[in-house]
Amino acid sequence: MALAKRNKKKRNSKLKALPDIVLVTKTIVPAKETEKLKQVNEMLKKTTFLPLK
Amino acid sequence: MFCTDRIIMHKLPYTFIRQKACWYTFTSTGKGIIEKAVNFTPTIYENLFNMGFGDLRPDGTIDDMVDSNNGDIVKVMATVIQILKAFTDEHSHIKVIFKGSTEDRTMLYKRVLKTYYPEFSKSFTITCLVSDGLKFNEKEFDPRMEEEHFAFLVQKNN
Repeated sequence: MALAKRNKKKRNSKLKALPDIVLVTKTIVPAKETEKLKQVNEMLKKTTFLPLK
Repeated sequence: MFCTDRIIMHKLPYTFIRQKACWYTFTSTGKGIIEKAVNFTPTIYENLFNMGFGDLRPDGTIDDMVDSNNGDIVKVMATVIQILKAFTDEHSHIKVIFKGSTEDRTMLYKRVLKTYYPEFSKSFTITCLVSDGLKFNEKEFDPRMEEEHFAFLVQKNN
């Protein structure tokens, strides 16, 4: 009983140590880039586009 | 193939299926039966998507290098154009870029654009990429232009 109480105290103190605000960052996993798409993207990096209308 | 350019405009396309938001398939029934796919994938620029087209492999990827030679290129091109129209109708803010996997294919796309230009230019802005040797420049597509084109871009007019 005493052990259970001690463990509960330990758990609660760990919980208290957590910050009130937890930041969640979303990792966006890009779609698999095919060879063709890589070529297109490389071409686009070297492209001067017309101004937007 | 060259004398059929005018026929493209009036050729009925194959029925296509929209499998996912950016993925369409249809069946080419020329000499044999071949599953074809068209997909639109985002590029490094926001609202600029690359259009891929080719034979659908068993693993679900597109083979854009194969020359299936199924005897129905005109109907296949008409179908790809309808798919492009359907996609841009739904996503009018998206610009679509496409280029052939080979020079011959890029030439074919250029011929199709030249043929469709009077109809397309009413609802789409068509531009192309030309090269100065080191870089690429976007220019308005002129069907009379003989310059080498590296890619084509299409966007629905507002």
